[in-house]
Amino acid sequence: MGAAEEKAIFHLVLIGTMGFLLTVIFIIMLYTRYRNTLLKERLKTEELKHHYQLDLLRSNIQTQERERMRFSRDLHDEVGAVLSMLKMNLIQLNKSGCYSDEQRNYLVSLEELTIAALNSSRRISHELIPPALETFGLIHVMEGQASILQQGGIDMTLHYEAFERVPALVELGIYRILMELINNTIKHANAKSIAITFQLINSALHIRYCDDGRGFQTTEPAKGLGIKNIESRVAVLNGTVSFTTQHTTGMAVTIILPAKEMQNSHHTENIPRV
Amino acid sequence: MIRIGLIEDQLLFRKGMKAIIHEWTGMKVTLEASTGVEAVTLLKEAIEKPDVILLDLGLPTDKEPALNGIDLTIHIRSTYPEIKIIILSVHQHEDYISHLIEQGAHGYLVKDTDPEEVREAIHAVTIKGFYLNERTMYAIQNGLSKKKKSKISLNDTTYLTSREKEILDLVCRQLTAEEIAEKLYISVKTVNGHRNNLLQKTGVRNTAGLVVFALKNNLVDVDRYTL
Repeated sequence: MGAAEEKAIFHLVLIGTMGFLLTVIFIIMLYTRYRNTLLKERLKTEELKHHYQLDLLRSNIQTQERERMRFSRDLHDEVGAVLSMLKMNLIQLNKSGCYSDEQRNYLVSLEELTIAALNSSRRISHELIPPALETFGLIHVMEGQASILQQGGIDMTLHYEAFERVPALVELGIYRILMELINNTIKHANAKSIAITFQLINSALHIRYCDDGRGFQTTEPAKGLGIKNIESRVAVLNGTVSFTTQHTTGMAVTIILPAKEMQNSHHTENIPRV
Repeated sequence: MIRIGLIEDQLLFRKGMKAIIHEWTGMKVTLEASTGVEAVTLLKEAIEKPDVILLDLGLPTDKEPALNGIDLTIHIRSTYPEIKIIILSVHQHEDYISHLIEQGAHGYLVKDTDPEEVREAIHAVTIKGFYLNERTMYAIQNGLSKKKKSKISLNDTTYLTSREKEILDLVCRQLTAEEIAEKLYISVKTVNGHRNNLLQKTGVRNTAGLVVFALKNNLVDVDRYTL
């Protein structure tokens, strides 16, 4: 065998090995790419699923709130007006002097029943949605809430600067979250004071809620229904929420809602009447 | 004859109210509207404008341009300053009452009020320029105490003379100029002079504004004016 032949074989082996290695590398690359695509697909599906769930939650809550608004308003304005007129007519009848004492007693009791019905319709309507929320806004309603709490011995202070009206459903969302937090404080915290701060930072709304109660322990059976409710309401508003608590020094909740949720005039979401 | 306008979207309530008003002598419903926009058009067309308007707050707002009772109050006050407005609403919350009086309404009644009070209120706004019952006065005062917290500065009231404060007090008791003159043994002309000074010093537009001013600045005590 000549040196030239040996060299040729050596070259052949070299080329063959390199070819083989290249093929292997190629196959490996193909496989990783395939796996990556698969993983991305799966992530995408997960994300879609998550989005879908959030959308579902959002439309669920929005439908519920819209219906509540409509129901509350119809009950308050329509049923309220009819009952009011009923009461007015009964008063007129009673004054007409055409009835015996016994008949007039019946008229008085009819009037009392009408008043009771009126009061119920007002109460139910207010419990569904405080009508002042739509007319005067969140801060105003929370100030009213503060004076109610004061009667119960809890001092609630509100701090806000340059915070104006936000879209109706956002306002309603924040209202529900704050009421849930206030209820928690009243029920479990044995607190003396609550402080709520509204602050616009880079047009995102930062809400901080603090109380000086006994806080909650992190070991407690993870999340109560109240906290879950708050979390889903914040998620629906595309916001974030974090809870911090220290045993005996109360708790603090920070909610951040993105700027885009704050846009649109609150008039755009007016609920049409039927 | 007092001409009355009824702006109310609930047909049953409007018809009922109209029937009650027509039983009273010296009053007549001359204008009826069920939406804010309709009210604006009818008011514009009316040759004889109503003297008093009974206005509902919860007017339908589903069609553009939407005008609710609050918007309409502002519109009527600026366009027809001689028309007196009495709000007749299902809302009995103090926030609504104080807000509407601040927007220039001359009186505020809750819908299920005794019809007799509606009649009194109509007479009061035509004769005295305003009708404020106890509930309304409390609402105005409480509406302010809330605002105090948000640091809205009050007008300085120290520059009112004691005579002016006395007159302001009687105005709040809803006495007419004649009644005040009689009580203080001065002429009606002098009373009106003092009242004009008060209007000028406080910067309000009418007698109802004076009462709001007095209540807001704690110059009077509602408890003394149980009507």
